[in-house]
Amino acid sequence: MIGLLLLIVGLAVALSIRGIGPPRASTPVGPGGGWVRVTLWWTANVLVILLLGVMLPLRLFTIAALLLLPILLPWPFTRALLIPLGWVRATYHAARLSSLEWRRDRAGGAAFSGAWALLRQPEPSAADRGWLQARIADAPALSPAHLGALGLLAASRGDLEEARAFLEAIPLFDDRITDPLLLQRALDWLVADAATQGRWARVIELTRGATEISAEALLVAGVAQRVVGHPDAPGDAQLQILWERVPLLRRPDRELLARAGCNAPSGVAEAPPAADGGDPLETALKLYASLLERPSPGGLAAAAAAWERALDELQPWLHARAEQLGARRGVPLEAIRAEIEQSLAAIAEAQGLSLAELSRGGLLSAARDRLREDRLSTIELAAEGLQRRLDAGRWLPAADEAREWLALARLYSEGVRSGGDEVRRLVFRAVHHPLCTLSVELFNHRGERWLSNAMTRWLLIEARAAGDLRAAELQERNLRL
Amino acid sequence: MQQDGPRYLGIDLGTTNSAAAVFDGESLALIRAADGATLTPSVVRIDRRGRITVGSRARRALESDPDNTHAEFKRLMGTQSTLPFPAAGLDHPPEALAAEILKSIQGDVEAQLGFTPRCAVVSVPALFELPQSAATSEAARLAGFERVELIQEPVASALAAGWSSDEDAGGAWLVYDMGGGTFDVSLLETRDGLLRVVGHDGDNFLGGRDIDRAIVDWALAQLEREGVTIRRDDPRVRSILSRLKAAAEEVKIDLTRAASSQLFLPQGVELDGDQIDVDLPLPRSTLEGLMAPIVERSLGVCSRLLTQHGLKPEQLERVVLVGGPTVIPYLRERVAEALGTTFSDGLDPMTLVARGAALYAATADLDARPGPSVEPPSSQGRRMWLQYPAMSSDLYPHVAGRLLDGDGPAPEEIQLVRSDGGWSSGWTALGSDGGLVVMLELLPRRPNRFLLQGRRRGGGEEVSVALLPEHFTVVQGMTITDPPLSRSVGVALANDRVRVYLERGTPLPAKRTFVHRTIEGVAKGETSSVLTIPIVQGELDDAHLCRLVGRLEIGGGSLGDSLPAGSEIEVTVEVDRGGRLHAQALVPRLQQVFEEVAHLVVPDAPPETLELQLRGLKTRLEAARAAAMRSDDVALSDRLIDVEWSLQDTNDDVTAARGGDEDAAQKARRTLIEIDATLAEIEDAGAWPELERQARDQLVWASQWVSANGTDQERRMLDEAAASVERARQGKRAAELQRQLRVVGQLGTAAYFRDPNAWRRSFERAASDLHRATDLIAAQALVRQGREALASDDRGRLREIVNALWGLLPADVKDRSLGHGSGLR
Amino acid sequence: MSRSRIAENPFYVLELRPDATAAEIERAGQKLLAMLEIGLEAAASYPTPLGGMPRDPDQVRRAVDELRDPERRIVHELWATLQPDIEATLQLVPGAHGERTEPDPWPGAMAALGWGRRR
Ligand SMILES: Nc1ncnc2c1ncn2[C@@H]1O[C@H](COP(=O)(O)OP(=O)(O)O)[C@@H](O)[C@H]1O
Ligand SMILES: [Mg+2]
Repeated sequence: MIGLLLLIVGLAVALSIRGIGPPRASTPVGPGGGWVRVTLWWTANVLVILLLGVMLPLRLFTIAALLLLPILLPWPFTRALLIPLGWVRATYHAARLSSLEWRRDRAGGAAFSGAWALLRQPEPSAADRGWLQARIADAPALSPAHLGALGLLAASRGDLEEARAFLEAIPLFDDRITDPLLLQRALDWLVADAATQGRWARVIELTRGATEISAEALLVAGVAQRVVGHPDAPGDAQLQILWERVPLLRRPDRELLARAGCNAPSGVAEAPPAADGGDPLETALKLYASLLERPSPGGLAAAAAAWERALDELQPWLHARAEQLGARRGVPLEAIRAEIEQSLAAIAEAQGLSLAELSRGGLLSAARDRLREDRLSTIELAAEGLQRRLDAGRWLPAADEAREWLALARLYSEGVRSGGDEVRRLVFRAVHHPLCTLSVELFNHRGERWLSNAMTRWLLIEARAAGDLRAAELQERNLRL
Repeated sequence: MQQDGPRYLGIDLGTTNSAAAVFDGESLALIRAADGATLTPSVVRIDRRGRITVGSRARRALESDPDNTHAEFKRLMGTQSTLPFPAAGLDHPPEALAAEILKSIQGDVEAQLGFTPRCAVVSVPALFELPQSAATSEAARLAGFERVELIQEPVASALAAGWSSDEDAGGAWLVYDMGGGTFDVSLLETRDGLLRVVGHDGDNFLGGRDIDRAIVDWALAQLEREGVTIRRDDPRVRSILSRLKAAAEEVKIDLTRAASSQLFLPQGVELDGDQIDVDLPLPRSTLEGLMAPIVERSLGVCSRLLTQHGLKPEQLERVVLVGGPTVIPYLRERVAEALGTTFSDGLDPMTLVARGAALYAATADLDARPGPSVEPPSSQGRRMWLQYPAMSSDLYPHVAGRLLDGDGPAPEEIQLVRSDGGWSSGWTALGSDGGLVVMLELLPRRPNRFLLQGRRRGGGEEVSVALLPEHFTVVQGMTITDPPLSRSVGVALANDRVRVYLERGTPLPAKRTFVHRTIEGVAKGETSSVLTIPIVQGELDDAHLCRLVGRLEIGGGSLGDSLPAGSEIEVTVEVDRGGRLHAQALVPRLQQVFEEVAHLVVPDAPPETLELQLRGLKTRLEAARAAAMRSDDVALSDRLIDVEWSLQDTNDDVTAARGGDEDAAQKARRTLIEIDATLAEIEDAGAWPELERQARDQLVWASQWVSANGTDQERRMLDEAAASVERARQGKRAAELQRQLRVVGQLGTAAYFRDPNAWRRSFERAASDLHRATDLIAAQALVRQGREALASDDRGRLREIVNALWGLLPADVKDRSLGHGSGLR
Repeated sequence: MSRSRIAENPFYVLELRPDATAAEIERAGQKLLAMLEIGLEAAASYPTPLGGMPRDPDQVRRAVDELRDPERRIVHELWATLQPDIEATLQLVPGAHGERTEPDPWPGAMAALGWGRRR
């Protein structure tokens, strides 16, 4: 009897340890292969429990079950105990036993979990970070979970920009290597990050259409809809339900619900009415100063209009002052106008307003052109820089190549966000060339099929959006490889 | 001179002659060498035993021992060249020689004033770049000065001229400074006794020695008429030429006073064994004819500067003449005629710069006396830390003070009293931080001494409190607050533009920070991956035309973590009063700071590089001329002729450079940059019509194919792109136009290749260019296979073959065969 | 960029109004530099319509120099039209007080969603 028990336990341990062997990424196992093992694993677990139940008296059974728990149910144990304790290495090893949750990419999942545990440390330890980084560098190919882990490591250093870029890229990877848990947790982090800064609209954008979404993320999305006054915002009762759906241990404070309650839908701020009468220059400066202090779309329009009026009357004053002060070269009104244009555009930009939304003609449209030129040439220069490096054969480690890709992609999508499809069409080619070269190189010579595949998917999506049929065709072919 | 009190030392470290002056707050005195001369020729000789001779004694050796005697080394300051002293087997950088001159002046000061000066102000040309200024500071350090500040020569001259004039002539001043080999002109503005530099211009290769050379040329022509031919490029006549040159300079100086003189070589010259007497009479009028072109060139520079600042000669309030050649009567006449002013007399053009430098030392509070220059320890009292201008043009400057911690009772109120009793501040209470700010009242144009008094309330009555210092002095007179930066400093960007950090004229010290974004990533640990931040100096918009003066590098090896493209970098550029450059880059996302600046010297100009540049520019000139011919633009053709002339001049300099003339090499380098800038401007102007023409052609080509083979979406996109092309054309936005044309090209190409015969046509076109293939045999094989594919109508195969063929052909073949405009990639 | 036009306007830095004379500008610069050199508190900051700003010697030198050039001075005059008094500015702009549409940040989000230690 005892012999049989030991046999089964041994079998179970052996099965889970096998996952520690050659990482899965190099020998991709489709979902089918994973399932066989998972089924075996669970059958073994149930058998063990049953046997124990039959064999032992209740008290001994409880003790045995507790002792076996980490082996039999590694993930719940890791999730509930090791991660909150911030034990990075223990988490890493325990997660490698979690063949159910991380069945598609156990090595990556372990690194991701380890990075997660690191975030739970009061002062994330540099030694642990270095240790995890070494584990990730050992992997023969960069998987999405590895990228996610690097993102969390960046977050632990306070580099949120990089964390965002990496975690946002995860859905671009192939399903076959991406565990649902990874998608969920990556989304959770992004949601938490957006909520921290009060970017509620971003929370809604992130959660909209997500296939793998946790109960927490759904709850925060509901709150976000309430905060911004979204038409589909959940009612009080619905919100309560969303809250209760979150497992007890992970449920946020009720304070979150209060946040949803107190903010009635506010909509876009009204334009401050122009301060009437008075000197137009003074009015413009006042509106401008308050715009700088608290930017709003309405305020921007009001300031632009006030400047327009003020500039109309400025010429005589400029002449008179130039005369009085002996300014021989004079001060061109256009220079002042250009400067104001530029700064209004910069404010619009910082506020994330798409320039296309701004009124045509006048100060803002010239500003838009200028800003657009800046943006486009930045993207082109970055793409050229990348191409130069690739042409020179200076290759970087996979994680750095991913970083390069995502940095360029970010510049690109910022440009597209403010300039729309027209900008996309204009710069897609410039970006396509180096990224395609990079992706092909990663696939052919570096064995980085997952990363390459994700880049290709990104290129395909963008090629279609840009209406570049030839590029789309090419990327479709690459994707099929 | 006052017995005690500060001494301010100013030094004019000239190319030909150096001078020094000292100011005690009231009057200026010149420093004299042992022989009583006020000028120290900037010449250094090192003999066999390593003994160093400086000044007039070394100058005499210029003829007898030219190999071990060097003059004009100032022109090489900030370059990497060293000067050889073969007899002693030594090699010295120019700043070491400059240090020898400074040491000799230090010795003269000690002989005259009884102490070794530890601080001084040294003058530098207005157009010195950062490496040159830094080399000058280094020379002063080598000479043993503890502190040194630099002042621009024209500012010093104007300061000295303003100090010695009685009336307060506000308005625009022009400083005309012709030295031995350089010409500088500066425009300044004075207002309420404060000097401000408005602009500079100059010619680094115009000066007194050009007059000497003209005289030598004349002499050679005279000798030739007598049947004696001396060729300049004959190495055997080198010593004859240098003796002739020395004689020419003597005659030139003679003729300043005398109406006629003769060029006379006492021992005659020996040529091919023949003894030839040289004794040529030279009347003043001939000299005037010889120097006229030189003077006219200098006047051209003056009017260029005036025009640039919107001034006419008659608007000038005063013209200050500086430098040896400006004593020549003919030159003074011509300048007076052209600039329409007379000059303030009684100013010695040879020592004006040194005097101004000494005055500036007072403004900068650089007492030359050895420290510690504090009160004798015997006096008792509470210490005040006072901050006031040692020299002020304002009649009402402020003094700020703070009570320092110390023993004894602290004063509660303080009063300042001018020593003549004519003014007092009244009792003023100290602030809570022990601070005090009082506006003084000065008597004009003299030192004003102020007494410091303190008192406190003790037991119901006022008790006076002794204070240290007991008194201080402020001199009223013309000042200039801070030395201005001579050329703009900025950071070169990836698109060949410059982000200007500190504009020309910014008072020093100055510091500026801007945020940039990286365009290329740097990977942690990869030593080969380096991000470069080039720091440049110059006034041109194109980065490659500005001088690279420093480089900040962010290398993968030193990074804490990888830095992706698009990361923010905060760059800070700082220039201190001595013209030293500091830069720093902060990477916020890594919290890492980089400040190792690779300081660059003025680049060498090897003749080979110069020649290469020269040839490149000639080619560009030809292209520009052809374009101008096509467009029939007369104004343009005129400008091109100017360019051609200066290219020809440069050709001569490059030839001289090949013969080892470092100076000519530097001159050629400078001119080539200028020509490059002019040509770039001309090319830009010409590029636009060409671009417009291409836009038209390409639109026609693309719409033809898109309307035949395009999808609805493509047609819509082409319409939009056409509209954008039109907008870009109207706005004259070249970058945007090129971008839109790329889209047009893509659409056209996609539609073109949907045509059943497109690949066949491309194949034929590529096949017809077969002779240009890099690998002819492979290409021929491909063509054969292509013919087979054509015969069997295998389009997929044909397409592969065409792509392979393109790989073997030069890029332009592919482009031409696609039909959309070339050169736009 | 134009924020600095106001926040670092030479007139505000020197605590002068746009009608100041050249002599007043030089004098103010000299006085402030002296005060900063010995660290008097009164010189440590200056008021602007955008609130108080810290002052350093570099800024003072640059301010004086900017105003010496008549062309540049005119532009600075324009940007210094407002009194350097924040209350007055914001009062005149309706809606400037209170009703900010700023985002409503949730600082505890990371901890609440399991990404950090709960406090
Ligand atoms: N009395 C004079 N008449 C004409 N030229 C003179 C006279 N004195 C000096 N020079 C010339 O002035 C030049 C030197 O001028 P200086 O101002 O000392 O030069 P730098 O500023 O280059 O040191 C030399 O070419 C010298 O021949
Ligand atoms: Mg000189």
